[in-house]
Amino acid sequence: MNAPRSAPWRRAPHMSEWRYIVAAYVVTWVVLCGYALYARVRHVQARRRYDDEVRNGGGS
Amino acid sequence: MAADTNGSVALRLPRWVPALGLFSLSFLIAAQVIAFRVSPPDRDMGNLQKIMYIHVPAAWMASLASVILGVASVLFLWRRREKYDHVAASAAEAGAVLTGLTLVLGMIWGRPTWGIWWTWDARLTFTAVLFMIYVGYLSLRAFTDDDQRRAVWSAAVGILAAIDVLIVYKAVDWWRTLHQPRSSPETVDPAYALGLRLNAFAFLFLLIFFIVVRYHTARLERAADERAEERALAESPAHV
Repeated sequence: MNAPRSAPWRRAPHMSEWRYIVAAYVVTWVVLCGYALYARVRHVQARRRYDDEVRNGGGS
Repeated sequence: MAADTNGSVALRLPRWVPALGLFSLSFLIAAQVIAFRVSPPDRDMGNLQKIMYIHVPAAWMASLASVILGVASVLFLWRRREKYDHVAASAAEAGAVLTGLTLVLGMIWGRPTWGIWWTWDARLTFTAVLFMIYVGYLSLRAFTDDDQRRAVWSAAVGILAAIDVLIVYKAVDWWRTLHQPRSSPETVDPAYALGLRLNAFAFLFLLIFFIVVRYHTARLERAADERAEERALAESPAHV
């Protein structure tokens, strides 16, 4: 990220940067793991519904 | 795919898919550890540069998901095969997640560097438009009952998403606004290239995993719907 000299971030050299870095990584892991979990649960539900339709004709 | 006892396709999730999920998350951990260990603080941004390792790959994979969505949508409108509609829907869901993540990470990075959470910069604006297109696409699918109509309408919206992502890509060339020029392993300092590449691959593996799982889920849901429809027709009294 080679910034031009006029870039705005040059005016903010005294920031407490780590809280933003930690927040960014926590958000990333929550979103990615959360979506992976959601996809997994939805797949299991779809699998159960399909198996139920095949074996019991929808009436479990 | 094996046939079940009733002669239908079993629609099993391939065994390599859960393994790919675990591998992707492990690869992401390793990529982030390596990126943190090998990259020095940036001359201008200090350690905030490390947000690049997640923001940029998320943006790339959100764009790739849009391209997959656009191609699958065109193929569906051309060939009218259901599998393309499933691929498009799968890419749209993963793309919505990654575009939302890109926007949030950009805000977290923008606050300490630009001094603002948000501005109507061209690239930011068209990325927000892309996210709204994804939300519209998923809402359209959720609220349209007719399968054929849902697939055709959502394919049209999917093509819109692919067009928008081209504008997002070129926005930093066409308009001189706040967002910096695009970052890639070729444009960043060599000290950051390895970390960026590794994290990009980790996000790519995750995108593939998300799309494959969602695709198989869509096929299962469709197969269950078809069986339910067949059963309802068989059980309904005959009309003359």
